[in-house]
Order: sequence, then C-alpha cells, then structure tokens
Amino acid sequence: MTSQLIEQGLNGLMLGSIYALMASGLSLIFGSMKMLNFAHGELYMLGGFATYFAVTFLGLPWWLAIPLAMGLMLLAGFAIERVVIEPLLRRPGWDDTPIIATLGLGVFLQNAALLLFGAQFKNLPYFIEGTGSFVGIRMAYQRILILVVSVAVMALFAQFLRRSKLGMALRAVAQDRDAARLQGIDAQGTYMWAFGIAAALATLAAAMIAPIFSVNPWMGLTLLVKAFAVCVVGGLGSIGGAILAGILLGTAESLTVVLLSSQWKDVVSFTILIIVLWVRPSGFFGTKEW
Amino acid sequence: MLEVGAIDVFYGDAQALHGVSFEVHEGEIVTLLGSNGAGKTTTVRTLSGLIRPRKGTITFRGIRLDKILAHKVVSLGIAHAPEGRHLFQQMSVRENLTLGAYDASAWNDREESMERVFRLFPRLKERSKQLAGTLSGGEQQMCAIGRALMTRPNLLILDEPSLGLAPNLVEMIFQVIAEIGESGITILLIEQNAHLALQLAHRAYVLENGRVALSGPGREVAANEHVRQAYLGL
Repeated sequence: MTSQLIEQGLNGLMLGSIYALMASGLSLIFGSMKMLNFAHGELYMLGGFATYFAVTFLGLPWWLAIPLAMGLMLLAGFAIERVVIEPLLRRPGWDDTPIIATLGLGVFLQNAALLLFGAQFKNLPYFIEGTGSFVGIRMAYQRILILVVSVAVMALFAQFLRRSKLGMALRAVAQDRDAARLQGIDAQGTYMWAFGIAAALATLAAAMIAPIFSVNPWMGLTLLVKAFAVCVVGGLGSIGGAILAGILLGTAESLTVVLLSSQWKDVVSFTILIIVLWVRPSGFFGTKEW
Repeated sequence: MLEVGAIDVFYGDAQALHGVSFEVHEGEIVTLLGSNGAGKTTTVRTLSGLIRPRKGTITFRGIRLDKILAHKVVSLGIAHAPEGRHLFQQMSVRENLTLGAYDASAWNDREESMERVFRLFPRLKERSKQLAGTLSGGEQQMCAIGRALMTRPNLLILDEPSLGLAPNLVEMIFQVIAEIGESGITILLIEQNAHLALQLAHRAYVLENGRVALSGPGREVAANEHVRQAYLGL
C-alpha cells in the first residue's frame, strides 16, 4: 500500500507538472494582457499534433520533434496575437471582445483540426521505453521524463522572467502598464511574446503527455478546465501560484484515485477549488505576484 | 526645447484641456501649478504619449511628440516620473531602476547610471534589494525620480513629487530637484506645493479648468494677487 501511494504521488506530481505548464501560460497571458485565453486548450491540441507529425512524418527523434513543435507554436502564438487579438485590443471600449474572440478561435481550431487531421485518436510511442524500479517503487521512464523535463523547463522559465530583459518587461507590463510604457517598454510587443511563449509551454505539455493520453482534436477541453482551476487556486496571473497549485491539484487527483476511485478525482479537485475560493478568494498568491 | 501649441485633450466627450500652450527652454526649471482637476496631470500624460491630443501640436527639439507612440518618447530624451509614483511594486528597487534604463539608448550604461542615482539617493542603495511596494513614501518617491534619471534624460517631467510626504522629506526632495536642475537637466515640475515650486522655478504656468490662466517668471507669478490668494494662502 505505501509503495502504491508513493507511486501514485509521483504520478500526481507528473500530472501536476503538466497542469503547471498549461496554467503558467494562461497566467502569463492573464498577467500581461488582463485577458483569459479560452483557446489555450486548442494551442495545446495543435502543439500535440505538431509533435505527432514531427515524429511520424518527419521521423524526428522526440528530443528534436518537441523543440521544433514548440518553435512552430511560438510563431503560431505570435500570429494569433497579431491577427486576432491585437486589432480588438486597439479599439477603445472593446476590452471584453478579445476574450470572446479566443472562445471563437478555440471552436474554429478544434473543427479545423477535426477536418484536417480526422477524428481518429493518434498515439505516440513512449519516448523512453521501460520501467524503473527503486526500493519497490515502480515508475515508467516516460513518466519520470515528463516530471524532469517539466520541472527543468519551469525553472528555466522562472529564471527567464526574473533575469532577462524581456522577462522583466513582461513583469513590468503585468504590474503597471502605463509605468512600463513610460520606461520605453512596448507593451503591445510584450503581448505577442506572452502569447507565443504560452503556446510553446502548452505544446511542451501536450508533447510530453501524448504517449500516455493520445492526440486528438478534443484533447484540450478537459485540460483547459483544469488549467483554469489551477490558475484560480494559485491566484490569477501568478506564475509561482500556477506551479504550486498545479502540483497540488495533480497530486490530490492521483491520491484520490488510489484511496477512493477514479470517478472521484474531479470532485476532489473542484472541491479544493471551492474551498480555496471560500477561504482565500484571490488564490494562494493573489494577482500580480510576479 | 519643448513647445506645446494649443492642445485640446478629451476623455471621451469631456474636454480636459482647452488650447493649452506653453514652452520649456533648455536648462530651465518650469512649473505647472493648479488645483486638483485643473489638467496638470492630463497635460504631462499627453506629453508622454499616454493620451493623444485631439487638436494642437507638441514639439520637442523639432520632433512632433503628438505623432509618436508612448514607448518611443523615452528614446528622445524625455523621462517622466508619474503622479503617485507608479513603481513596479513587486520588484526590488534595483529592478525598478534597471527597468528605468530599458530603452536601448540607456541599457548598456545602466550600471553606471545606477551608481549616479545611488550617489544622489544613498538611501536607495541601502534598500536596493527591498521590494518597491514595501518602501516608505519618501523612499518610493526617490525610487521614482531615480528610475526616471536612469535614461539620463534631457527633459525630466516630475508629476507631484511632494504628494503625501512629510514636510522634512518634501524639503529634501526639492533640494534634490534643484541639484538635478543644476546638473543641466531641464525640468518640468507639476506641483500643488506652490510655495516651494515658485521658489525653485525659473518660470511658472498656472492652469485653471484646463486653460492656462497665467504665466511668467516664478517671482512675478508668486507676486500676483490672484495666485497669492488662491495658491499661496496669503
């Protein structure tokens, strides 16, 4: 029982790190643009397909396919921000329309994927075959890989936000847009980066989990709901909160599966959401914490 | 250096500025006086490109500012410490100052510029690792002025630098403003503390209801009967 608990705990950490990758992208967009991105699940889905085709069509190894897919989705994120979001943000008094636009964009991308790639679920082989075992705890190498890569990328992302010039500009715009513009920061330019980086992080999440779940046009739906919950629990716009809440929720869900049953896992995660909102309406860290 | 020519500024349908004109010459300290809602902050936000005038022109060293995006104004040599300081609250003093040098023209010299700011405000050096949001009001104002100086501007716009500060701090801030002026930086100072502003400024403009009501050399304006009654409480 203990080893099973630990295994499920590790599984939870893995799932949590996927949530965290998704939620930190949402938080990046919300923090800088003050906007919810309802198309985030579809960015995740497209990232999954990009990785799938890079592996199957181009025959690339996973460690090349994923960076390529992330690069493509970075550019796709730039393009979406410039073509769909930017023209709406420019209009005074149209503050809510970009959110609605992302909702429409999500529907569009989902159906476009259905039309182009078909409804069939697509599977990728494990990036690393086999299962490791250590003092009686067994864990597939794929799952360990997900955990290690996600944690490494989140750490890099945090350093990027903290130290790089662009990262500082993103935080400045999130904290005080007008003050940022007075320092010479092109706020509109940082929006494009926020969207592109968020798309790339979603792609990484989709690519890493693809061998375990599968790639299909609807894969973003359930994950988006979870990622929003994670964002709210962590504090909207807070990257640190997104990471912490992602890992908490993932672990709670996995442990629920062992202790109760898999049917209860969404009940548990949304109960946590409700309790956090009750006790601390602004989430763990509140907004603006990065 | 700076010429503002009859600008009209609106918030929606409400007109905030009516044909405001003034100029600032190289090396001067010029102050804009006026009560709350007179249009002082609106004026300087328009200078920085945060608001667009519906009519009129703004020219800085021959370049039309009213055609330029806000984030490009900095690279022309204009720095703006806004009303209410607007520091990046969740960032350290050092990060705030570093962002002050964000513009490409200032970025490479940022360490040296920071040393200068620390010489001007030794207090900021002691507090350099502290989050800006946790500083006292006076320290926050020092940080805001320091951040504006990080681009080594030719024109420094200070919007209500003494707002909400204790009297001894107000005096200290004004001493520093005088020092900055002596170092050759042109200053446009927005103030409610008309006493100190008129002592410091070479010239003054008085804004009332979005219009320039009076202008002239600091001493002359200070001697004006209306100003003495309405702004100096004499």
